[in-house]
Amino acid sequence: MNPYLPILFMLVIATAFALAAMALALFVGRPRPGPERKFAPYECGIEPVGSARDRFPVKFYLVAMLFILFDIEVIFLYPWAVVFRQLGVFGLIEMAIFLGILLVGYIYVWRVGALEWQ
Amino acid sequence: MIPASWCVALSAVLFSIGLFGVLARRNAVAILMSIELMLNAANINFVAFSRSVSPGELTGQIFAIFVMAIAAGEAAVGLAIVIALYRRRSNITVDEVNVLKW
Amino acid sequence: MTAPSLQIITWNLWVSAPVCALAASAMVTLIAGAFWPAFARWLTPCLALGGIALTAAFTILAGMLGLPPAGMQVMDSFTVVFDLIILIAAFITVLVSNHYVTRENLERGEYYALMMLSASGAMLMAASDNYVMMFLGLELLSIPLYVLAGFSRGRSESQESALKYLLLGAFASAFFVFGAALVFSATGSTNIVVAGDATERALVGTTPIYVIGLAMILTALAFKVALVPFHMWTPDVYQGAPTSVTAFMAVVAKAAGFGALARVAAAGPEGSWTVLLWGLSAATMIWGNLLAISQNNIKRLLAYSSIAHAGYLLMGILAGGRAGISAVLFYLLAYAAMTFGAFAAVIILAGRGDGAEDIEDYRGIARRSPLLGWTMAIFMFSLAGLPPFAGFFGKLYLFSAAVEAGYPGLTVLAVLTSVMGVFYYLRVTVVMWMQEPEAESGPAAQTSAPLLSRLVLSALAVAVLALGIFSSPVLRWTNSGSAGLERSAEAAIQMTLPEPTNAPAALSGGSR
Repeated sequence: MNPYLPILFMLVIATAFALAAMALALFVGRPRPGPERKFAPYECGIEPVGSARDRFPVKFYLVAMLFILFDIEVIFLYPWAVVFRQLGVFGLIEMAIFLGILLVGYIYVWRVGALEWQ
Repeated sequence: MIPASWCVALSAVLFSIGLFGVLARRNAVAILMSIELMLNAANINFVAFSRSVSPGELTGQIFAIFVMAIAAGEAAVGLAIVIALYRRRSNITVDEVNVLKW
Repeated sequence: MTAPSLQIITWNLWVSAPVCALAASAMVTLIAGAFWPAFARWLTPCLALGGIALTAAFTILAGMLGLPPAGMQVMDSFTVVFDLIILIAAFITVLVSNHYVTRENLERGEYYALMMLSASGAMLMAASDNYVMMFLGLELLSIPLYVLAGFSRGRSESQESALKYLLLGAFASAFFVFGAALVFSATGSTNIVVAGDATERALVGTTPIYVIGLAMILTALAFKVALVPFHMWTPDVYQGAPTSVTAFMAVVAKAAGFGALARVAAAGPEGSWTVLLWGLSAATMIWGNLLAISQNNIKRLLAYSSIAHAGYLLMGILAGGRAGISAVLFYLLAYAAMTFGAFAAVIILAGRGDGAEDIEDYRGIARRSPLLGWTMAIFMFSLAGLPPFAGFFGKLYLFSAAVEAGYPGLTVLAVLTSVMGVFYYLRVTVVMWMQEPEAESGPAAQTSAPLLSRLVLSALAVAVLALGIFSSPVLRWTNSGSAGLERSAEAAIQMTLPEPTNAPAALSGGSR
C-alpha cells in the first residue's frame, strides 16, 4: 500500500465533514445575523476599533525586530539538547558562552533604552 | 521517499522567484522578502541533500540553522535601515532613493 | 560520537582565539559605550585599540604554535599574515576615525564596536577553509558595515548608502549561500579543498552543479570586492557612507574578499575558471580606470580607483601559486596604507558636514597646508604606481607574478590601464599644488586638524615610502603567508584520502 494513502483518506474525510457540516447548517440553522456582523473580523471577543490597515507606532517594529533576533537564536538550543549527553561538560560550557553573548546583546538593548515603551 | 531531484527543482524555482522579486520589485521591504526567499531556497537544498550526500552526519541540517539565524539578523538590520529611511522620506520605493547617482 | 579530546579542544580554541578575542573586545566596547556614554569619546577608541592589539598578540601566538586545521578554520601562516594586515587596517581606521567621528557627532560606543565586529568577520573569512564558515565570516563582516554606512543618521546620503549596500550585499550573500548549497549537494562536502578535490578525481558525477555553485560563490565575492560587472553599488555607497567608514570598507572589506578568493580560487576547475577570472580582471581594470577619469567628487574618484585596484589584485589571484598570492598580500598592505592616507586627508579637507568633497574645492590647498599637499601627493603617486612608493612595488610584484604564470596579455593591459590611472591621480595633485584658489568657490576646504590626525597622516605617508624602499623584507613575510596556503591545501587533501597509511602522516604534517 502506498504510504501516502492515509493522507488521501484524511483529505477526503475532512472535506466531506466540512461539506456535511455546512449543508446541515443550511437546513436546520436559524436565519443568520446581518451583514455588518458578518464582515467584522471577529465574531467573538473585543469589538474591533477602527481599521486594521492603519499606521502603527514605530515602537512596535522595534519590539518585533528585537523579538525576532532573540527568538531565532533559540533554534540552536534544539540540536544541542538532542546531543547534550554526548557532548557533556564541553557542550554545556559552549552553550553557556553562546547564551552569555546573547545576554550581552540583551544588556546592551536594555541599557540603551530600546525596551522602554515611552 | 521524495527523490532528491524534486527538492532541487523546488529550491531552484524558489531561488528564481526570489531573484525575480529582487530584480522586479521596487519596494525595499519586498526586495528584502525576496532575498529571504533565495536564502530559504538554499536551505531546502542543504536539508534535502544532508542525508544522501553525507550520511551519518547532520552537516546540511546544522548549516540550514546557521543560515536561518543569519537571515534573521540581516532582516532585522535591513528593516531598521528601511524604517530610518522611511522616517526621513516617507517613501521606501528604491527608484526614489536617488540623491546619489545610482 | 564521543566528546572531543582535551587536546583537540585546546587546538581548536587556539585556532579560533584571534577572532574570539576581537569579537569579545567588541562586546566589551559595546557595553562600555552603553554604560558610560559620557566617556565614549575617549574610552571606546582606547578599548578598541587595546582589543585590536590583544588580538594581534593572540594571532602571533597562535601562528607560532603551528596548529592543525580545526575542521572549519585553519591557522596557517596565510591566516596569520592576513589577520595581521586586517588588524593593522582596523588599528589605522580607529586612529583615522577619531577626528571624523568627533567632528560629525558620531561618537557613540557602537561605532568602534561595529567596526571591530566587522574586522573579526574579515578575519574569519580569510581563516575559513569551509564555505559555510566563510559565509558566517562574510555576514559578520557585512552586517555591521550596513549599519556603519548609515551611521550618520542626519544625512540622507548616508542612509541611502546604507540601503543600497544592504540590498545588494544581501543579494550577493544569497548567491553565496545557494552556491555553497549546490557545492554541498554535488560533492557532499562544504570544505573548499575537499570539494574541489572530489570533483577533480571524479568521485562524484555531478560536476556541472559544482561548477555552477562555484560560479555563484565567485559572483558573491566579486560583489564584495567590487569587480566589474558587479561594481555598481561601489561609487554610491562609498560616496554616501561616513568617510572613515568608507576607508574601512575600501580596505578591510576588499581585503577580506580577496582573502576568501585566495582560498576559493585554487579549488576552481582548470580552463573555464581561468578564462572567467581573466575576463573579470581585465574588465575591472579597464572600466574602473575609465570611469575614474570623469569623476569630480573625490570619494567617487577613490571608489573607482578602488575598483581598478581590485582588478590588479585579481591578477595575482589568477596567477596563483606562491608568487601570486604573496604579491596579493603585499599589494593589500600597500593599498591599505595609501588608501587610508588618501581618505585621512579627505576627512581633514572636507570639513564639517563633508562640505568640500569636490576635487575643485582643493585648489591651491598645498600652499595653505604643505603637510596636506605633500602627503596627498605621496598617496596619489603611490596609488598611480610611480616609483619609489609602495604602490609601484606592489604592482611590480603582481605583474611579474602574472607574467611568470603565463598571462602576458593581461599584464600589458594592466600596464596600459595604470598609465590611464596616472592621469586622474596626478590631476588631484595638480589641482592642489598648481592651481590658484578661487575666492568665490563653494564650500571651503579645511586645513586645520588635531595633532593626532596630522601624526597619522604623516605616519601613513612614511609607511607608503618605507613599504616601497624596504619592500623585500615585507615580501619575504608575505611569501611565508602564501606558502602556508599551499601547505594547508595539501594537508586538507591528505586528511581525506581513503588510504589509511596517509592519515597519520597528514596529521603530523599539519601540526608540523
